[in-house]
Amino acid sequence: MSIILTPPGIATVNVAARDAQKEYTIMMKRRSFFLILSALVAAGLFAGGTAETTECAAGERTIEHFAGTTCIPAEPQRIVTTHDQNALLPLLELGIRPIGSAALVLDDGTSRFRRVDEYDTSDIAFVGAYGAPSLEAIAALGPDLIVVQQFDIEIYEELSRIAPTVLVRIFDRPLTEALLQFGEVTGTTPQARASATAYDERIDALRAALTDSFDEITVSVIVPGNNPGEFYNGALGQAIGTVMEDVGLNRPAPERSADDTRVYWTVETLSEHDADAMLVIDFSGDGDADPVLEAFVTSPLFTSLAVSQAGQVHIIDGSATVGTAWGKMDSFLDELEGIVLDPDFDTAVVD
Amino acid sequence: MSGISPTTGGGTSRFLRRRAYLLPGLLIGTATLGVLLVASIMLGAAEISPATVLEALAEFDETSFDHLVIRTVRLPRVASGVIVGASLAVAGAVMQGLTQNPLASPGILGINAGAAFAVVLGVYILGSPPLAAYAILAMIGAAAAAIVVYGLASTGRDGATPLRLTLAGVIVTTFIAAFTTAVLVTDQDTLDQIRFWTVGSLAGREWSLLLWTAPYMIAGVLCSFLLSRQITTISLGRDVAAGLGQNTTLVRGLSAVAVLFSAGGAVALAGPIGFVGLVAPHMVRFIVGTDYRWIVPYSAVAGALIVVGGDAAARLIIRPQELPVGVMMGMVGAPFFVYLARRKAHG
Repeated sequence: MSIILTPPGIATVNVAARDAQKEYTIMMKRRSFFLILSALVAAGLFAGGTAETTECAAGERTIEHFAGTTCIPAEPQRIVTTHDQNALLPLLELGIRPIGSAALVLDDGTSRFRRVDEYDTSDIAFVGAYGAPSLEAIAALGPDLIVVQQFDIEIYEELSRIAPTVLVRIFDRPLTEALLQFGEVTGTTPQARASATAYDERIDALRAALTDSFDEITVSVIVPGNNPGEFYNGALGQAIGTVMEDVGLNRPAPERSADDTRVYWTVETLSEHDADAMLVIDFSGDGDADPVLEAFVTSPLFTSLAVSQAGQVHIIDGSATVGTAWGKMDSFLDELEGIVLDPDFDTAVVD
Repeated sequence: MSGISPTTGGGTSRFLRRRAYLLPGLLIGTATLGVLLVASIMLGAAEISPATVLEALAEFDETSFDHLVIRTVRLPRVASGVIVGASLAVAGAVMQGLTQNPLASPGILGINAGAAFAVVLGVYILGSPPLAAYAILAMIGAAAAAIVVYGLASTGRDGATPLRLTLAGVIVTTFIAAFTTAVLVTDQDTLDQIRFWTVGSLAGREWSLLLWTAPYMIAGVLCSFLLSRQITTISLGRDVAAGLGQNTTLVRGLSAVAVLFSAGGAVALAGPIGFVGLVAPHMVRFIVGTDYRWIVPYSAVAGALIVVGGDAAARLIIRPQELPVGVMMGMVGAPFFVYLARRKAHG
């Protein structure tokens, strides 16, 4: 559900925003390690001669993935994931129930699987904080397959000693490709393809519905930064970025980067993001009010934008629209359709 | 006036003779600062013409985005830079005079770290403290750090020598950093607000916080101006000052309060911007010598120049992104610190 912005009465929360920021920080720090280590892992696999001619035992099949080629059980029964929203979530969506997963560790020491509220996760064991899962806890569960996202490549070799490990690349490619690979890994390709087909049909329908006004519409998607006076592109990769790319609506010039690297802009440049509709992603989901987001959208600079004056700023719940799942892309499409197909939507806010 | 300056008598005439070029020098410095302020208001990520800038200042139109950028982003930022730079530099000058330690500054002696930690702790405990609380928290933290540093340096027979003070400052800064990290890893919500107070930045500073912190900084700087004659005397050595009949305990106490007000207010507003308090007084000594009646006002102008100039550079180097000015100061100040330390080591 989107909320037409009526400052200052904006109900927002900030825990997930912090998660997203923390995760992004971890991501950036690891990017260099990631490239080096992926080269090393690839080199190691090739040196061992296993990459090209992997022969699997009976009851196994080969999977080509980001870290190489691995033999995995034909029908894995005891899957452990090392990330909640980027590994546990896509498996749950495919009807697979992992036996354990890493999660966000909260301030009070408890843990939470993020963005999976619609699923019962009560019997899924916690195996440590995402980014630094406990190898002992994973080994203790006796998994027959470990599914990890790309930033866990640092511990890929250790995980591989516990069980066959598949590393799925989430970033720097359309999310649809990653989601199809999760289907391939878990032997649920038909379900994944069905979701992909349904998604493609929605995209086509939206584009068709916009035929007459397509070129006239500009949509900005931004997120306030943690520090006052800054914001960043809210549609880099993942669910929102993939949908925005597939729909193909115009974006303000600074938001048209094909690079997934996050750049923080100062609010001085906010007018460059003026658009017919502005979607401000609120990564809070649940928790306390987020003073940064509220200060951002109620600042004189923000409220002076043409899109603010036109009442076409929408606060989008990031917890419902961000995450590695067809459902998250569907949720964002719901939001986008509700905005751009609204008969009252003014497509002439900016030229 | 309780103290007798070593520059009274013959000193006064020297003072007046030097004033023949020092006063114009100060005015030139102030004028340069004025030019830099105008340039700083004109430069930024958004390209705004000088004419529009003047319009925003003279005939503000609250519906104009460019005018709002000038009024709500750049002006408070530049004003914060001036007052923070002046305060930190004056605090550094006073500390160097009081301790007769060329390496003394709010950053080196743990004052900034203590102030920043107190603010962080306040955010951790209170969530979002009222704006009025930031400067008070910072000053309490600064005072606690100063007491611990001085106490630590004073143990032993030699007392608080410059080297011992510096080492104690490093130890306390490191110690406080450990606690800051502890808060950082235990509270995700505080973490995001802490980032600001770990590097020092003028970005996003609003008029409201400036108004709540400026009175402390102004009071601290003015107090330092008033004490500058006595600080000159103390800078010659406690024995000399006592011999000249100066109530050194009172002067040192008042000066310490001035430092806490200046540095505490600055940290509450902009976070711990290091090295300004170290670099600015040393720069001005090349021009004005050892008389704190000139060092203090010159330091105020130099500090403002350094911070406003550094912040302008920080905004332009990776435009349209920005670096925190605290990072810029570290890049410039750390080599200067090494230079000073080496010069000191070689006598």
